[in-house]
Amino acid sequence: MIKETQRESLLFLLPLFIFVGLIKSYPLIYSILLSFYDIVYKSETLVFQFSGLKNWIYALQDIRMLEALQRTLLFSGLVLSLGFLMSLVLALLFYEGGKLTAWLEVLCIIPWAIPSVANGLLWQWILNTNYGILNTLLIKLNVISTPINWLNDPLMAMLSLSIAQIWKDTPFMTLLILAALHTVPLQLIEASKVDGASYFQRLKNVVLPYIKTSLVVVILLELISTFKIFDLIYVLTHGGPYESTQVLSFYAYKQSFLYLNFGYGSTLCYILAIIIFAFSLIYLKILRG
Amino acid sequence: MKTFKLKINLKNLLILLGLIFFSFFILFPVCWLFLSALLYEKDLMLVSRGISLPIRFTLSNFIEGISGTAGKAFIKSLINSIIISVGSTLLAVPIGSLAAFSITKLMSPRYSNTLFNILLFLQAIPAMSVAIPIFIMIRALGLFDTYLALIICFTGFSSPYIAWMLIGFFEGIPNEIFESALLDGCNIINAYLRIMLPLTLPGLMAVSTWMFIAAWGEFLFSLLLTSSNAIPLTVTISSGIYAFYEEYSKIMAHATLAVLPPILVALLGRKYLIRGIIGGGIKG
Repeated sequence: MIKETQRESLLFLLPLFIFVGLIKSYPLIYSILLSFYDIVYKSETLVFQFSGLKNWIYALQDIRMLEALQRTLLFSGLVLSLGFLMSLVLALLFYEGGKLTAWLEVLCIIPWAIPSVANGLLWQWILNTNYGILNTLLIKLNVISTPINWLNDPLMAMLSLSIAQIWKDTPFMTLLILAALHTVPLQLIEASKVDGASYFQRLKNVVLPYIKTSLVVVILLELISTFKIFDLIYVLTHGGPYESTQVLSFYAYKQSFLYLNFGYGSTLCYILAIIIFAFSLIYLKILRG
Repeated sequence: MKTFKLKINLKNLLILLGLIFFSFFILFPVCWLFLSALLYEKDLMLVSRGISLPIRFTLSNFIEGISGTAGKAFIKSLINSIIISVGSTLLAVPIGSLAAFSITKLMSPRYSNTLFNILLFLQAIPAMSVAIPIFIMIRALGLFDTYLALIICFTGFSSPYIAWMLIGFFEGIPNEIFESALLDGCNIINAYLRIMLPLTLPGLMAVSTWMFIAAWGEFLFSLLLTSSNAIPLTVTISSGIYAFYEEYSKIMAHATLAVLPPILVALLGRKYLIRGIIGGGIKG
């Protein structure tokens, strides 16, 4: 019977293999081949010309690529530092709030469910310089005296982008951390209460160490998703102003589908993939180890 | 005793303040989206600049949003989105479920561990990294601007994650149940259909909810692989700013119609969804 189930197991996996092979594995191999070619779009057909490592050498010297990579790191750093801290605090609040805050957890699912494109439109409106509600609120509260140029100022644009992303991602991270908090055994918490530990001592010595792995997983998942960001940038800033929000994935998109440099575009896409694979390997190691 | 009471109050006060801030942060943008869609453009400009309060509400933005040439295109893409999202859910969920069943119940643990890792790895491949080959491939297959192109892409992209989420649910079913069904003379397919499927129903709800929302919100492939016939909603509304000459009441009306279906689905499937994603992402 064991032999038989082994054979059937492959049969049940076949549909997945076919689709994944067609949409992921094959294109991934195709893509690395493309990165060794110069490809031009001539009268509706693609003309391939082998160019060896030219695209890869160019990529490593391309100042726009390096800047895009820096911006990706900055964006991830902003979203992670602010977003993660916020979701950790909120998860702790929810945990302490117990049944009282259960209804708030329902709300957390809303920003997550909203398409990134709609999120971009919404924040474009909120952050509008002359008519946006955020500037109005900040002026009424006397925080600022003149409207902030949220989306047209190269310095502010990256922050605006991060705010929109944090709004969408924080509630969901909160739910994940909250779920991890619920796995902490109550006896452990009670014991430290009996020992007379204060709330913050308990947090530092008992709760956080217990959910350490989950926290790292949440951070890694968010890191991966911020490195992949495309939809929000496309709608909210389109990489501008003056390329100030042009992160790696958006630069790869522009090279590929705006300038139609399929060869160099593939190289950039592959660099992105390699970075994300590295993160995934760490994730895998933590999850399994 | 007194200090004890004070401590509790301070703690509750902090919790309350934190939660008020949070509710405001989460709810304000969504409410502002809906409110903007319900005001006349002239009124909205006054309300948004803090000059007047919202007093007159109207559905005219919605009515204008679904009438005329722009409205026709919007309704067409709304229908497209429904077809593509439902289609890819109906395709990807069974594929993921079969795979999860195979990995957890049919395979020896040695292989299933390797496959579990491969699934995770496949999941990590960014859409952008395969966009060029898929673009070339779909055009070569003559599938450009069809529902099928997007349904195939979404299914290929999501089925590893769906399988991965469902593994958690299948692992929760004792092996004895499956084995005793086989001993009773049930073949594997019947055991899967009659016993495993009903037992993993919460998991199926979770992944279906997830898949519908993911397909509804997908943008990159939708942008690259459609031009007129199969354009989904995300692509249509992404050009809203240009279509409406920055009339935000109308842009927000379209955005509202685009976010309501996934929000409703998420709220309906919420109970299963959180368990499913947490089951996959975080264990212990």
